[in-house]
Amino acid sequence: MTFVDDCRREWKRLRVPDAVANEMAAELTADLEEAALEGASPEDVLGYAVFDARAFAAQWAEERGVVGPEPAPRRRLVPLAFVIALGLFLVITVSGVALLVDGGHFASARVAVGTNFPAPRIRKLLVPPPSRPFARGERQRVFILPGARRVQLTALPPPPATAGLVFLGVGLGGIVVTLATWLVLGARRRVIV
Amino acid sequence: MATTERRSSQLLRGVLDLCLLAVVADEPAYGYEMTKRLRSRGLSIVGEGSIYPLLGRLERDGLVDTYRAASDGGPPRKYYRLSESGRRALASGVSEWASARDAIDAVLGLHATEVAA
Repeated sequence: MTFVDDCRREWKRLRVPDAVANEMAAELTADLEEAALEGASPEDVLGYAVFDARAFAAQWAEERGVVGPEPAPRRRLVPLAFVIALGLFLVITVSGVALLVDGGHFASARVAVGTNFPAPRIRKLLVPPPSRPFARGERQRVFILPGARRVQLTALPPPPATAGLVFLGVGLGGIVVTLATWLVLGARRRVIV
Repeated sequence: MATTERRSSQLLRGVLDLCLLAVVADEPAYGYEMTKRLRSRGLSIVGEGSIYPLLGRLERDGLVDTYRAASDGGPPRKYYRLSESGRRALASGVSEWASARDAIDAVLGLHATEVAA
């Protein structure tokens, strides 16, 4: 490995354009060869720089202003949008699981009450959903007033199991789509680089 | 002794660009040829860094123009010649050097007179 070879390696590392590197290498080689023919040492041509080819090459390229731009650092940070999307879908998924596992705490009750007015018979009444989630073990109290027909029924939300499944599906689907998009975009970026 | 060498090195480093401009002022030269011209006038760069980075800076700053031409029996060489802005820079630098040298001579010369007396 000659002094000029070492310089070439350094210029390549510094992304000096090939044409410029070749020109500098040719200039240096010709001067060193002429000095050798005259019996002069490389030190006569290069001074103390002869002892450190890399520093010499780097300084020359820098002074000429031909050092290439630094390669762009690879983006290691996950794009914020993907992180936010994943977080959102994760929350939805967990909510779905919670609804499926613990849905009873949000369920409205179906009760059967017997009435004897105007005629004895069994009627099934739907009780409006509770105003707050039940604590574990807490039960809803249902007050049956005389004339149960006056119980005001409100529209019920979808059954908790259905809501849980919907949440779970949306959450898992979102996670899969987000990850797939992320991987595809990442692969394309690597190909471009 | 070491101090003397260091001072000489620092003095040369401060004006080496002017010296390079000066040795191609009359006739273009390639790198090693410039080194030989400096040496023939009493300046050795052995203790200094190479002239190539400095030539690179002069080229980048437009103070020298370059061209390739065949040398005597050898491969084509890269020649340096003074540009117009280089000629102005050389004139300005020589003037600065002369002023500095006169001022230093005035101080050191006075001291030399005192020592002699």
